[in-house]
Amino acid sequence: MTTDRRAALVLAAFGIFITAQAWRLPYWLDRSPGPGFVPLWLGILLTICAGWVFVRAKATAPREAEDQPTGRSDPYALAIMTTLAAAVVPLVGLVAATGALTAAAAWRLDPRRPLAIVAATLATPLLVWLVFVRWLGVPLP
Amino acid sequence: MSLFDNLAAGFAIALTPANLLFAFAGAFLGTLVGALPGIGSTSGVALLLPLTFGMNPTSAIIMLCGIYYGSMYGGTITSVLINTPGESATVVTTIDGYQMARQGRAGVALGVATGGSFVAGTFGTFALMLVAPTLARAALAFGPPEYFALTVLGLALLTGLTSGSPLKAFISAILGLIVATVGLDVMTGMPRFTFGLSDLFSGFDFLPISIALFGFTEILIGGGGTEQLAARLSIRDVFPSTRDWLQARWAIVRGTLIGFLIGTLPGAGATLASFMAYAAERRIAREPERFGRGAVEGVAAPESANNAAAAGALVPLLTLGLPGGTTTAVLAGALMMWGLRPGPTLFQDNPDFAWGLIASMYIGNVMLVLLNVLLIPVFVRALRVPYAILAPAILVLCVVGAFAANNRMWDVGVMIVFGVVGVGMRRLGYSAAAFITALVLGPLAENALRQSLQIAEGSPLVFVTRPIALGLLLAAALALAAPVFMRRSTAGAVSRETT
Repeated sequence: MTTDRRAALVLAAFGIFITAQAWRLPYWLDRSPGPGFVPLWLGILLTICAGWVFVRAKATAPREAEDQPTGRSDPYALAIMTTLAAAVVPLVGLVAATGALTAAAAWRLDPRRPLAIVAATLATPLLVWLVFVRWLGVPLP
Repeated sequence: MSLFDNLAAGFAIALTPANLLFAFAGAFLGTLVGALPGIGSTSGVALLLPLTFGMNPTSAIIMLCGIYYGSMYGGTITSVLINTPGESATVVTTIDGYQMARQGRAGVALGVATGGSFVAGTFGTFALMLVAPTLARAALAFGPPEYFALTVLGLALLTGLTSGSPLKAFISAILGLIVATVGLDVMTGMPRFTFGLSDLFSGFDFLPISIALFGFTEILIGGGGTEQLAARLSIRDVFPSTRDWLQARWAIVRGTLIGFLIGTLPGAGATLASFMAYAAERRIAREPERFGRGAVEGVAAPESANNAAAAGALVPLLTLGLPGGTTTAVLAGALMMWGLRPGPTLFQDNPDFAWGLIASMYIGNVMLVLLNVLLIPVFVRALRVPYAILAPAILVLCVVGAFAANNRMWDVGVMIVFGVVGVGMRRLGYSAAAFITALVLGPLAENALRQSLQIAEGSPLVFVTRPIALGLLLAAALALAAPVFMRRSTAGAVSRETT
């Protein structure tokens, strides 16, 4: 099965889920649409459109999107690093976590620049602290 | 008050030292954002939005608009010097701009682009000033049915004019509308899709999602980055000769007009404007074969068009509350965050804001010319920062920016989740622009729909019996159907030619 068709199935399932959830909300209240009115139609519309994508993907060539990115970073590795950095914030604070994130991401993208990585690891949290804590007064955890 | 009285009052606001500083900061950051590959105007505005939290709305929007049109200027630098557009609206500039750089005329290309951008930006602001109040007054007659029809038209134009699959753009818009329904229903106070999570009661904040879909996603997929080193340039190099100006003058005029007109159409945007201006210039050229080989008109036309379009895109936003593109959708969300409602009442209820913004755009354009002439060597040096160092710094800005939206880690989680969703959307050809526009317009559209049906006691005929609403809905249907017919006719023509 092509990626396009798998995505269409996920979207159709999401559409059915939204429709089912919206079904529990009042559709009509006091001669006007209730809170379930718009979500119900959106869920139905999403399911139909996702079904259409599924059918069309089968009928046409299994071509992926034209704007397939050609970048060199691993999106999931960077997303996991960011998640881990967010997870350690309650333990070490956001400023220190941003330092760790900078170091890990820079090393992952290009480990051949150790000095630049160290400089960025020190400079980035310092800038975050100066701009957000000192200047803007954002209460960073 | 007359137009010029209003403008004078706007200048009194824009010329305060604080607002001048913010206009300069916006122009500077915008140029830098545009110059750095991988961070476009939308990512720049979304990422730098948290920096405006402590400011009053006028100063904040002056800075954000400075970032917006500054990025149009900045995007040219990378397009010309390293053949890597820093901004989608400057993609077409690479065709002739980079060729000029290879011929040792990079300074001339940048100088003509700066001059053209200044003319276009100033004309665009002047036209915005003339058109916006009149259009806003006309739109004051709008009731809920017209507003609903207008939001439908905005979404239809955005999905219909998207470069990828219109169906996938339509699905993206539906997803954005669904996400917009999460939280307490404003009319009944009933929770929707909150699953008992108190963080969801206020719905999804648009800022972490816009940071996710534009800044975070861009870094996750590694969209930017180039190891090529930019050429060295001095200030002296950025002054074109009289001959160059004479050669570029009509391209600048045509690019400006095309850019402004296209910019005012919701969904069209600066990128389409720059391509149209380039195509028009090539079509009417006496020697079209010069294009692609370093024609100065090939830089002047698209650069003028994208700057005029940036000003034009503010027309539907300020007068009708319709974001014309992704960056203006983020700007619309920002206005709402500060309690300002973009739309026809903006000029009536917040004249200081509206006219201060227009006046600051004139000032910002002058600042950008000075910045581009004086600081091009500095921006060229900034391009040498390795992507492996730049990308983690942007990741950190995404995390802290998402946190600063509401001072809660929940929004960082939302940003990460939507960032991963954004990667999937980008890879599968779903439109982040349609998603974010629907997210911003969703609450307005839903309220207008429900109020309309309430007024009409449930009858959907209310949208057919009111001529403006009917006209807008017909235009929306046309916008959705047009790409399908155009593709069919193109496919038909191709098959006739091949048989």
